[in-house]
Parts: sequence; structure tokens; C-alpha cells
Amino acid sequence: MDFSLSAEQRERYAHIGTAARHLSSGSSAAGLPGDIRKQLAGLGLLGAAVPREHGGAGFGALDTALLYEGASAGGADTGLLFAAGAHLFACVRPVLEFALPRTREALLPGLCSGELMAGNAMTEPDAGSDISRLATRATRVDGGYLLDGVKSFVSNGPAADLYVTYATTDPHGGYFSSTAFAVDRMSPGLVVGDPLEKTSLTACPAGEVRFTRCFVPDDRVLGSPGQGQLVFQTSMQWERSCLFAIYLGQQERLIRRCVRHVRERRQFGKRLADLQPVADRLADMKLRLESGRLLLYRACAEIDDGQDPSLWVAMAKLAVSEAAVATALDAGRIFGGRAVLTEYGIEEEVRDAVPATTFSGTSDIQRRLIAREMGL
Amino acid sequence: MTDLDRTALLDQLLRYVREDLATGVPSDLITAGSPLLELGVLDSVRTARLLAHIRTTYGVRVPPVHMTGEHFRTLETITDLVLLLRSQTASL
Repeated sequence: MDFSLSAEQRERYAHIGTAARHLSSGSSAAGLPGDIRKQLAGLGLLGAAVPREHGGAGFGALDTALLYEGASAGGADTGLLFAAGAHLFACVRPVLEFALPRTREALLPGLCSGELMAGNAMTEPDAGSDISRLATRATRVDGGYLLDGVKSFVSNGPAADLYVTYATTDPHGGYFSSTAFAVDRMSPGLVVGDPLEKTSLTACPAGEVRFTRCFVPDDRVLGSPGQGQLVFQTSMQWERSCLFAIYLGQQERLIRRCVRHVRERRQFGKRLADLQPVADRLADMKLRLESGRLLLYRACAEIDDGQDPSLWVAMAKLAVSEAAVATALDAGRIFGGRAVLTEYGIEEEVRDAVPATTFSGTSDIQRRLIAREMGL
Repeated sequence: MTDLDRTALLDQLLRYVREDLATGVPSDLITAGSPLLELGVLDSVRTARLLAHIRTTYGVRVPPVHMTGEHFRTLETITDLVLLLRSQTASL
């Protein structure tokens, strides 16, 4: 059991932290313009976990997580990192692992370079946590499928060039009732909705995608017909571990700021740091960060070892997302009145942390997965 | 568990599905040939539990290429899949 990072990993972590420091959306207008895509790709975020021969960095799960964590700890915008993570883990990985060789060759280089941004279209208005009965249908036709249905909360949706989506192909197929597809934005019958006005992760545009007799050719089926759940669950193993490294970086950054603040500010004739309740709060923040970090690295190590990572991934996602919310709120208490002033950015950190306990499977869903792994 | 014949394995899996996995489904509905997917027995949660059971009890991990409706249609087909994967592991 070795808990230390290699010299190379430490160096890469420090490097991305510096390089990503100024990665910000620039304006509040949602969208992923070309220069942002170029920056995300240049930092290696869009294709980190893709083999080099397909245009990626060739990293495993742990090194990919370290890249996202380092970028976030360095100060990169959380919403932009989320956009990159949603692209890589929920879309690029399924293409890599489940697409036909010719489809992989056609799509992966563009997905790694940022020429193509992808959006994960799973959630539906009536299928949030319960994805067992997708209302979106795929009907078999000559040479492919026709998709009909509506997907909501598609991250990157308004800006994406490609969608990884899931539709029911056999309503009586139980676990094998759905199929995964990689669909071009320009496909006839695909309509992209306006960006949702949201209060968190604002740099990542999200919206609806509507399919009306939208033709998808056979070579855009991911996995074999009926493997939708398998494709989705495999992608979630990556997303629930690596993407949440963004929230390790966020906590790292917040704790650093809080430490600086409590050492500088004085009340009752003392530094805030010398007030026991303040120090206790920071100790708890640190404990939460490091507990989540151990679980998340362990989950990544299980993926990299080819083991079934389900238990570790669910525990990591649950611990890190809950820690992110608690720590952002704690930072709010430490900064007091300043926490509601936009110039201090604490309220934005809270807004960005809150949805982490919902997306990629809610905390309740993670507990259910943990219970299942315990044989309950 | 080396000399596991088909009948014994089928019997064990049938008992597992009836008694542990599909509690709430009348057990007389679950036979060696009943359509588990159509009956809703193998939804995503129960399929994951079944896979975990097969992994821990028989030392068999079902690779993605074998994760298809054809292999999981009935307890008969699941039994054949486990035997097939066990024979592949044994020959390595």
C-alpha cells in the first residue's frame, strides 16, 4: 500500500494548477466557444483518458483524476471543468469503449482536440434517478434506428456537436431494454433547445435535446443493441470518480483561502485562527477533504487495476459530493458577511457545490449502490 | 467448485433467484425456462446483484461482450453462460 504520488505525478499536478489558473469563462454567457475548447484541449482535459493513438493523453483513471483535481485546485472555473468532465467521462469514454473501430477512428481525434464537443443525453423529464424506463424510443429501420423522445438537462447540450444518448429498443427487455447511440447534432430530426438559465456551473451550458424520427445509422450504436444500461453504468464509473476530483480541487482551494483568512482577520483581540470553534471547523473541513480523497483515489486505482470498482466509486462519489457542499457552506461561515458578496466568490462556490449531490446519481442512489455491494 | 455439472448449477441459481434475488415475485413463476427479463425479474438493480453473486460464488466475471439479453433470457441460458465462462477461465 503506497499512498504517495510519484515525482512525475506531483510535477504534473503542480503544472496543471499553474496552467489552468486563468481558465475562466470570461463572461456569464453560456457556451463553449472555440478559444475555450482550445484551452481545455491544450490542458489535456478533453482527451486525458483516451489512448495516444486516438489523440488523447493515454492516462488511466488516477492520472486523469489528478489532472482535473490539479486544474481545479489551481483555480480553473468549476463550470468549465465540469463541461470538460461531462464530455470526457460520459461521452468520449463510451465511444472509446463501445463504438465500432471505424467510428472510434472517425470521432475520437476530434473529441480529444475540442473540434467536437459532446453532450450526455440520458436524463428525461420523467426519468431522473429512475432510468429503467426511458420514454425515448429507438425504432429499427433499414440501416439503423429512428429516435423519438426528449432529453433534458443535457450538459453541454446547446454547444455540443455530438450526443451520447440512450433509448428504449425493447420495452420488455428488462436490464437489456435500452441501447446507446452517438448522434450528430446535424442529424435531421434533432432539435437543440435553448440554454437553461441556471445558477450553478454556469459556464457549462445545459439544455434540452429533442428527437423526432431522427435517423441514427447502425455504426453509431454503442455496444450491441440492448447494452444501453451497461454502457451508461460503465461511463458512470468514470464520471463518479474522475469528474468528482474537480470537487477535491475546489475544497483544496477553499480550505487554502479559509486558512489565509483566519490567520489574517482578528476578532475579540485574536486571530480567527486562535478561536477554537474556527479551528475546529477547519479541522473538520480538512478531514472531509482527505477522507474523500482517499476514497476517490482508491476508486480510480480499482478502475486502473481492472477490478470491479462499483463499491469504491459509489463511496467516493457520495463522500466527495457531500464534503463539497458542507465545506463550501463552512467557508461561508468563516467568511461571514463577505460570503454573500459576489466579489469574494464564496457564494459561487456554494452554488457550484450544491448540485454535486444530485448529478451523476444522487446521494441516495449512491447509498443504494453501496448497500447492494454489501449484499443487502 | 470444480466439478459443477449443469443440473446442479441450474438448481443453485434457481434457488438463489427464488429465495434471495426476486423476493416479492411469486416463486412458482420462476422456473428454469421462465423469461426473467420479460417478467421484470432482471431489472438493472437485480441484474447487478446477480452479476455480483455469480462473481463471488463461482469466480466468474461476465465480460461486456457477453452482457446481452440472449444470455440473460432464462435461468437455462444464464447457467450455460456461467459454464461457458468457467470453461474459458479454466483453459487459460
